[in-house]
Amino acid sequence: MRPGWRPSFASPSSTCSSCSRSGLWGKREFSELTPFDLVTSILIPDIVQEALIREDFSMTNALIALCTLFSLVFATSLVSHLSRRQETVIGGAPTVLVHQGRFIEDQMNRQRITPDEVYSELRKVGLERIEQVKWAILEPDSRISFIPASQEGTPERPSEGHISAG
Amino acid sequence: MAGGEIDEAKPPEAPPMRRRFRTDPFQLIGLAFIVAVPILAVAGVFGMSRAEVVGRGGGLELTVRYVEHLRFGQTHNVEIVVTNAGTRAIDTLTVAMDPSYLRGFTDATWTPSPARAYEVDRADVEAGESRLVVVTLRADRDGRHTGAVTATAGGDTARVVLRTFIFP
Repeated sequence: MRPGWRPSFASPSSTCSSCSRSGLWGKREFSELTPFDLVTSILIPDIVQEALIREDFSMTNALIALCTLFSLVFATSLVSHLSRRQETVIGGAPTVLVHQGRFIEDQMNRQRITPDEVYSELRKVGLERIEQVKWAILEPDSRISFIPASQEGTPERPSEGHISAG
Repeated sequence: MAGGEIDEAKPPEAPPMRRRFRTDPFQLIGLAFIVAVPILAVAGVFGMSRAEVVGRGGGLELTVRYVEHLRFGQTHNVEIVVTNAGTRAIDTLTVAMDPSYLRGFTDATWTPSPARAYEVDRADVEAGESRLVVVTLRADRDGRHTGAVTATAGGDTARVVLRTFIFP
């Protein structure tokens, strides 16, 4: 393998892990960061940097690494745009947490969301009880959208909250 | 709490659309550059590329293996092999490198040690024998650097020109 290969291959490996984050880790991990999350997110680049550029601190090496990352960012956005399945794999899919005033425990356990967290977000959008919610959906961007229960034929405006750190 | 019916509940989905790749010309230019860089890197364009040049002069044959292009901060060896292609022994063989070439590099280490600035002497080279001089250099200034390596013994001189490009 030629000497210029390293940043071109090291960048994809780190990008692939980032792209699959929603699928592998769950959306819950990308909500507000706890102190432990923050330390981890600072440490990860430090650890990866060594493998990424080794002792080559040239601008050329940095340019190769950046262009590789940008290429992969574009490629993933293109793939997720062209294929709905890939869009779900890369970006994640919305998860229903509450339907018709009832928690969906299986989904809440999978996403590691507690009823307390849902209630906390519920209050932020001006609702008191879970019975007032038709849909509560954990969106791929880690926010919870609430669609209040309404009378037939008069849909309410959806509200959106954000999961607080548990 | 969770029944099977509730587990499968799904909110209304967004309508489908024909998904296609569309972009404007300016974006394509930028995209071509961004994609080309890693491809060229994998092809070895930005890596270290070695070359060999050979020169003859009288009874001397000079072979230099060096790097044609490398990146800033990388270290490489210039291997200079001088062969006595004549019929008589050489008392003193002098190998010199142009300072203009060395200006692009730092941390120059000569093996064997230089007798004078940029010059190494090797003694008693029998006919058909070769002597090796190695200069270890670290790329320090980006751009093209050109200079000659010269081997001199008696009235004979062999010369080759080195051209190295240092990526920033």
